[in-house]
Parts: sequence; C-alpha cells; structure tokens
Amino acid sequence: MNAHDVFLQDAWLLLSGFGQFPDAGLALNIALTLVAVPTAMLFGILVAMLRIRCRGSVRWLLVAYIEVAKMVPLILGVFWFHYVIPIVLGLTPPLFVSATAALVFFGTAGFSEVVRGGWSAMRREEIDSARLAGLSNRAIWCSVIIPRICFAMVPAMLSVTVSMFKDTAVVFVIGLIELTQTGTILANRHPDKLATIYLLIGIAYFVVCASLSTLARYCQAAARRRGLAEQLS
Amino acid sequence: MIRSVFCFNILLGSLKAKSMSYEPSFAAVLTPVHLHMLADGLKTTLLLATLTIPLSVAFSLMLSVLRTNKTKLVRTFGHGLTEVLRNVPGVFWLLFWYFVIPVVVSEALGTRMNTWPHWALFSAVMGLSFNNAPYLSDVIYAGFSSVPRQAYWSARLSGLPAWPVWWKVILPTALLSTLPALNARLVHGFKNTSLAMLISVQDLAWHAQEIESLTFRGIEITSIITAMYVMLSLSLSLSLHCVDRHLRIKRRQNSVAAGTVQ
Repeated sequence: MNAHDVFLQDAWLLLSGFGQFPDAGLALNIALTLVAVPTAMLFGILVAMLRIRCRGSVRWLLVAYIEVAKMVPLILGVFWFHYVIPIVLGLTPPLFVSATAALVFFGTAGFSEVVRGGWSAMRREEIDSARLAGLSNRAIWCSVIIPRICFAMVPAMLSVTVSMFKDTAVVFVIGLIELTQTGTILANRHPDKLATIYLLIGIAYFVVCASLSTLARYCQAAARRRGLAEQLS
Repeated sequence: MIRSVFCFNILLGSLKAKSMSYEPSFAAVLTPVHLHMLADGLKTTLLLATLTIPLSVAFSLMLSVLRTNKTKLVRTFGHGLTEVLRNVPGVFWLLFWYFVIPVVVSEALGTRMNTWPHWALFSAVMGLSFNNAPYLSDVIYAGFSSVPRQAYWSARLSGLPAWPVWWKVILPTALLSTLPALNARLVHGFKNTSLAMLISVQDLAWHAQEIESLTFRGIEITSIITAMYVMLSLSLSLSLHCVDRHLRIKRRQNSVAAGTVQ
C-alpha cells in the first residue's frame, strides 16, 4: 500500500474519528448537535414562557441569564461546565456530557430569544378576536397561537441550530476529538497533505451548515407565502 | 408540606456533603504572579479587540459593496463569499490562517511567516475578522437597502460625484441606522477573541488555562476570567450605545439647524 492509499484511508477518519464513540470526527459534531439542540429548544421555550408570564425577580433573573450568556465566551463556558459539574454532582461525567451542558447553556439563551421574538410577532388583536369568536382557550392555543408563532420561528430556530453546530467545533478544548481535532492529528501524520486536509474539513462544515441555511431560507419563503395568502383571503 | 420540606433538607444536605469536599479559594489564584499574568492577558485581549473590530468592519463593508454592485456576476460572487465565510466555524478560519496559509504560499514566504513572532496574533486577527465579517455585512447590507434612493440622486444632482456621495451620504446614513444591530454583533466578535487561545495567542483565556495548570483551581480562575469578559463586553456595548446616542442627537441638531426638522 503506497502513501497515497494510506492518506485516502485516513481521510475517511475525518467522518468517523479514531476510536470509540465520543471521539468520532464529524459524527461527534453531529451527535452533539442532535443531543444539544432539542434539549436547548425545550429549555429555551420554557425560559421564554416564564419570561413572558412572570414579573419581578424571576423575570430579572432570566433576563440576567440571557444577557450573561450573550457576553460569556463559549470556550470559557465549556471549561466552566467541565470544572463545575464534577463538584456539584460529586462524580466525573463523560466529556460528552460536560460539552453538551455548555452547548445547552448557550443554546437555551438563543432559542428563548427566538421564541420571545415569535411571541412579539403575534398581535394581541388576533387572540382577542379568536376569543370573541367563541374559541376555547385550548383551541386558541392549538389553532391560532402555536401555528402562527411556529411559522415565524422556524427560520430563526434553524439559524440558532447552525450556530450551535458551528459551536461544536470548540469542544476539543476539553479533549473531545471532533472534526477539527481529527484533522489536526491527521495533518501531523501527513504534513505534506496539510492543505488538503483542512480543505476537506472546511467542505464538511460548509456542506452541513449550508444545507441547514438553505432549509431556513426555504422555510422563510414558505412562511412569507403563507402569511401573504392569509392576508389575501 | 412538612414532609416535603424535610425531604428537601435531606436532599440539600446530601448535595452539601458532596460539595463540601471542594473549598473554593480565590486567594490561591490571585497571587501577585498570577495578577501579573492576568494583566498581560488583558493587554493581549484588548490588542486583539482593537485590531479585530476595525478590520472586521472593513471586511464587511467590502462584502456589502460587492453584494450591492451593479454587475450581477460581482453580486453573486459577494453573496457566495458571504455564505462560505458564514457557514464555516471561526475555529476553522483561525487554523486556516495559522497553518494553511504558510503552506500554500511560496516556501520562502511561508518560512518567514512561521518564524515571525507575531504570526499567531496576525492570523488570529485575520481569522476572527473573517468569522465576524459576514454577520456584520448582513447588518450593513440591510442598512444600505434602507437608504432611500432619493438621497443618492439628490446628492448627485447637487453636483457631487458618485464616490463622495457614497462616502459622505450613503455610508454614514447606513452605519447610523444599523449601529444598534452592529453593537450586538461587535460584542459577539469581542467575546470570540477568546478563540485566539487555540492558536496559542496569550490572551485572557489562554492565561486562564495557564493559571489552572499551575494551581489546579479551574473554577476560580475561569469564573474570574468570565467576569472580566462580561465587564469588558458590557463596557464595549455601553460605549457603542453612547456613540450611537451622541450621533443621533448631533444629527438631529444639524437637521434642526438646517430647518428640515421642526
């Protein structure tokens, strides 16, 4: 087997990584996103609803949390959870868990801002007219508020998802071997192919993010069409 | 009720028992030597920020100009470039400048780059600007579209050539109307300067890791550094807010003086 074949074989490692599950190249980035995004979305919706519903100290706490999450660098967040979780829980969790916790911490703030934006896109009169038309509370939620907010939110939620996927590139600071780190190791193994390896990494990130962004743009166009149709009818 | 309070107390007690094994000590972290290191890190972070912010705004202006060009081909190129820059993480752009650029240029130049002591700082500044430029460009692009066509044509008709009109009429109007949105992105760009530690630029985040490895007190030092970043971000955000207010007031005074606004 010549050097070229060895390189081709190694290039596949960018997708699957070297070892057992957590150290898994692009697969690890995708796994982290798949775990962190739904969790952050759930918490984000919860935080946004609490922020809308509650007054006083709860609201101030949530606003403070969101503002702090906007100002704390991701890399420090990852370190912080890496150090704090073992002390609070009294046991050392797998690295995957601390990385997910940090991603969820930042993602929750992003998602809650999106939900709040969707809520403010909802006009008061729409709810009032639904109530005057005699709809029950439950019917108002299911057939007026949720469809309306969801359509307004999907593109923004996808863009938060893209930024969370891009954030997974940072988790190697606590020792997880994801796509970028796999690439760095491979670049040490094949110093003459360094540019090719980084090109492949860039393409891998671009393909995933660009397809999500395209989907977001498609949803935005669909939402706009739908909004127009509603106004016309 | 009493029972649930009792259960809660037991739960709290067990948590306390576990966490009692760790006693946080800020005194161990804030020794004179470490404070000196923090000051060094602060200097580098501020240097990174002062270089990155103007450069990323310049890059984003270039992208916006490309995206609003008359020729379709140039517009498509601008949009494509923005997409490529946006859809790849910042970490990649840092590593790209730090590792890949010296390899793809000629060998003599590559060696000079690698032996230049400030190459890491330079590639961090370039990479961070690449990372933030597309987002800033989105904001500025929206600002450009918000400038009314009449403003351009009335300035042209009063005898100004195209370039001064762009520089004196369109750019200030676009930037002023987007300053609040730019503010948020610039704060984001500032906190991303911490990524520079990944290519061993010795900024605040890098020194945090250094002090952690010396003292094994990760939580304390990370909390201190985090607080420093939050304060720096806040002051950047507040000062941009003041600039915005000042410019708005000044603009309004000018319009009142010119008699266009009562």
